[in-house]
Amino acid sequence: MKVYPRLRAWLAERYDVGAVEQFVEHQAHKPLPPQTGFWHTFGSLSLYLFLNQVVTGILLMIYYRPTTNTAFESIRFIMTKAHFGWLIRGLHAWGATLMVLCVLIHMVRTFFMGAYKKPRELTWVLGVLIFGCTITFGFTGYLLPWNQLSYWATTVGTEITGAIPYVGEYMKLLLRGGEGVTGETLARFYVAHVVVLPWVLTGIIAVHLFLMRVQGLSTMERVGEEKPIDPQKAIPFFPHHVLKEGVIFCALIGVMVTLAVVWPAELGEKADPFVTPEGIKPEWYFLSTYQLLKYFPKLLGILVSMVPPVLLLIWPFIDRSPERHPKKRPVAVGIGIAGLVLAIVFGIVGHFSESHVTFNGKHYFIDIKGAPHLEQPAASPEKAP
Amino acid sequence: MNDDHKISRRTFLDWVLTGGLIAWAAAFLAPVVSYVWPSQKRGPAVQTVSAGKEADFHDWQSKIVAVSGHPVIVVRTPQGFRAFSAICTHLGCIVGWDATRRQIACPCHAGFFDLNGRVVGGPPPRPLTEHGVAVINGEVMVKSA
Repeated sequence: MKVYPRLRAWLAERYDVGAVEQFVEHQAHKPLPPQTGFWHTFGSLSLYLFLNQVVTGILLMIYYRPTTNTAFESIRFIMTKAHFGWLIRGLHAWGATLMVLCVLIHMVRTFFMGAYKKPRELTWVLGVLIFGCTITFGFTGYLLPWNQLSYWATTVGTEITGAIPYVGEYMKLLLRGGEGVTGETLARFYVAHVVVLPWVLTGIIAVHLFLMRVQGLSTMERVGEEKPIDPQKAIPFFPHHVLKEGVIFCALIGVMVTLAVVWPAELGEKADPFVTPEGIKPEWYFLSTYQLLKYFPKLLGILVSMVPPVLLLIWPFIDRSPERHPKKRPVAVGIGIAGLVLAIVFGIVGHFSESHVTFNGKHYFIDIKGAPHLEQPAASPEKAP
Repeated sequence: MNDDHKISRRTFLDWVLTGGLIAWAAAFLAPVVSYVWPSQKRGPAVQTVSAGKEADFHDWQSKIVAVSGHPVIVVRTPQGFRAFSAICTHLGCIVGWDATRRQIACPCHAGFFDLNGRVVGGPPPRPLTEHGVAVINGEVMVKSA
């Protein structure tokens, strides 16, 4: 007798296995709208990447030690001594970057296809919270190697919260666990990164997926005029869409391993609280905000930088027109494109600001606000030790 | 008492139960919040540390020393020693001595301070806090602010 029928019979004597099978069958063969394509796989890709972060994160925790005396050394051990440690850290570091990218692409797709509109407003809000959690993962994880870049990026990042009126100083104190960035900060960020955020994100993702499965994928039809999916044109979730996701998933694994091999995660120098290195920059997904903050006084900068996330969060309740097709939503699409272009431009300026670049054979110094200054070879700035 | 404003026994019990639940939740939360809140360790009110021998400094030379756990920049000028908190008032980076400009410079966002700690360029909103510095028996002594 085969194993599965025996196991099923054993379970069926104790549980309502038929109901579970019926549920799985229904979910597996749920028809998807005909326009469901590769762009619809970025949500699942984000989920795969989250699983990658959990698995590689657990492996990293085996050797990582979250104290100021051991954090940097333990990462160096992982990179140089532990078998395949460099690969696991590389997959974790690149996985984080790709996860932010996939969540962003998923949000952009949802925005331009009007999929956030009624009745899926809460699914969108949860998606924005998932994005917030993802970049908070990035922020807390960035400090953990306890190197110069991570230490000073965290110092600057947490210092900014101090400018929030009334509560800023308290928030900064709570985040850092004291006045400066110390071992207390490292412990707090570690706990947030490996315990609090994973569970919070798991919970939000569970509700997000539940709502998505209950309400189904959005079509391009006007709000309130959605027609039932034509079974002749529908795409079955299994095997058609699952296979499509499988293809993308394999490509993603290939890309991640290639990135980890060709551009391994760097470690740099150990954090020195008494020496700030030049050219400290946050991770790429904070670059646009980092640059934006330079154009305004601290408090105003915080208020301005809060506009995009707040706008994202409440957008379904502002844009209540029934149209979903991008061509019929010129204002929303225009605002979306403008937001994307601004984020990219500020990000690029943030990347090159306060650095020396060579363009067309000439040397320029890009100042704090991104303005280029032509440099003469003899006039290059020199600093005393 | 007007009957319209009378509180029914059920409403009263609702309030008591709701209040009890809030108090119960607060009793659990209060220790958690106070546990997470950083304990403020305070060192001695005034600490004086040596920045090194006077002879080891020449004019316009600087050094960063730890005073009560905080970085302090000490600069020797022809008129004597000056010492300031080395934490930039903008975003907390550690400042350094720019020998070319003869100013204290922040490497993060190009903030500059003069030898009185005043902001002379860039985004810092406040001057650097000055520390007392004196030469005692050939030793450069810096006081906590």
